Amino acid sequence: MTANVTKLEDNKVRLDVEVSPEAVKQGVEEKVRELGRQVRVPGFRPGKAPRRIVENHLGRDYIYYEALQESLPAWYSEAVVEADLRPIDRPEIEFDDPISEEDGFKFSATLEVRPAATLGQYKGLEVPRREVEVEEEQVDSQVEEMRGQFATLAAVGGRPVQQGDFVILDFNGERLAGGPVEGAQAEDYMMEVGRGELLPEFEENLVGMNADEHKQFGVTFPMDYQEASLQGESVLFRVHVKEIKERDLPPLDDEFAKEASEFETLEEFRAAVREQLQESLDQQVDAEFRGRVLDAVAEQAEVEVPDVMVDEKADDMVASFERSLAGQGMQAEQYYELAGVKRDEMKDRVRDDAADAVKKELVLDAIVEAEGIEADGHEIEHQIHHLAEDSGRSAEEITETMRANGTYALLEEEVARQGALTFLAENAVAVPMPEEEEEAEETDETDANEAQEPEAGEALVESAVETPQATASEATSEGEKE
Amino acid sequence: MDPHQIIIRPVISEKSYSLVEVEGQYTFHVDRRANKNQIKYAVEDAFDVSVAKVNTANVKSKPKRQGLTRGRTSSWKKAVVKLAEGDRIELFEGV
Repeated sequence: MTANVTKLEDNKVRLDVEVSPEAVKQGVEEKVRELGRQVRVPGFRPGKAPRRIVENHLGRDYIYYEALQESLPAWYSEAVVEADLRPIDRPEIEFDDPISEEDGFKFSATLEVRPAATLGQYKGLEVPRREVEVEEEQVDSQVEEMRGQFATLAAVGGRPVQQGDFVILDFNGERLAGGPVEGAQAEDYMMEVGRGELLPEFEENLVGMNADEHKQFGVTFPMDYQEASLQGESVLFRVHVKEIKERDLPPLDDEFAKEASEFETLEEFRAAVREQLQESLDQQVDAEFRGRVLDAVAEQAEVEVPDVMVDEKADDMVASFERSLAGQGMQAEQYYELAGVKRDEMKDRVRDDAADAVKKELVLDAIVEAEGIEADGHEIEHQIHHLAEDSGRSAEEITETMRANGTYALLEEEVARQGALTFLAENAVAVPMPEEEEEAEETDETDANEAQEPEAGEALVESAVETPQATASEATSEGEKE
Repeated sequence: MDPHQIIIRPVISEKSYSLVEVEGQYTFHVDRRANKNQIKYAVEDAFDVSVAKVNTANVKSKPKRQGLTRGRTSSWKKAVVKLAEGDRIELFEGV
């Protein structure tokens, strides 16, 4: 097979392919064998008729036509690989002569390929980098959180319920209009007052109750309550507070440090916490910096971003969002209904981001090309290892399937792009952040990091999915365990 | 008799094909009245080959039924012709 590439305007390329007679023959013979199995030729059992008989029976032209249908895509993709092209769209294929086993077959395909970005300056760009130090308060709150985890619950005697107390209670809700309320019955239910686990109105009513006190009070469910049948309903709750407990925080001393960590003294523990925080902050800053470097380089570069790619990317983004929904146990359709948007609108919304992402991809590709960056083998292995762990198959198996379906090459490219980004970051000059930009950047962070995008959806989903029944029953089982 | 009156058509089936390949024997549907000698000369004449042996068989008709209509397939004469070493007949491709 020979493939000749002719460049046309607009990232278009004409690929002239000549398929050898042997390849044609092989394709035709395969097709004959396949057809022979499907077609009954009188005098022969299916699949047993010799080629000549099948040909006479079905007609040579028909067989050639079928064989062409079958082999053309394969020939095309083989030619694309041989010519080392990166098509981004379906090709338009043309041919004049029919296939022939003596002369082979010629066809030409017109296709749009990945445009090459024209890089501007990409080394030594001055890019602002945030300098962040972990602040004392952050360490404090981290330590405080740890303290909370090591807290024990101690029974409280002689005072009524306060905000922040833990109470163990039985409750039973009845509609004022009559009839019980689904899920509003529990025994030995443990909850933290004021954490918003149940309706705020309910929790407020608990404040001031003593241990072993019975009380009845009405609660009106808010109009925007998730469970439609309860919206605006008034419900009478009978509550029996059994026990009041409060969090007993361990004192902040070396003793606590020893228990909570492998460190001997509180000072060491704090230092370790600080280091950890600093590390994660550094990572965050680094990611921001890389994002900004890429922004800057993309700014300098010139690319014509093809619509097809943007479209594909937008589709990808929506699909990955849908997957993250599925991970939450929510159907995409449900979400669209709840959020009141259509999939297409969603796609339009991410279009700008998609265009940006595509541009950056192309720029990074150009960097890879310009600097001769190669995909880091370790990184690839690492990624495959991850995939293997997630899917429960062996790394070899994954590698094999990925090689077979071409995703391996994609992964390689992606890793090479990451390498290019690292290269850019290393070759950029970090300058201190201008004051006024700092604020703006904070809000901008989500854009810089694509991975955060699904998380925004996550929060949305969680609040929508949580139903009163689920919370109550979950909490009950928890209470029983205690 | 004219050779084309004797040889009616080649028999093309899995069996006849394998006979060609394995034994060099060609199978024909022939006129019922023809004898082995006539078949021999007819084949030699029509295909320009030399015949080593002719076997014939009368293929019996079979009763067939389609719904209430009863009938029989026609009976016919089959001739299996063995050619001399090296001779071939290239007719089995065009039917």
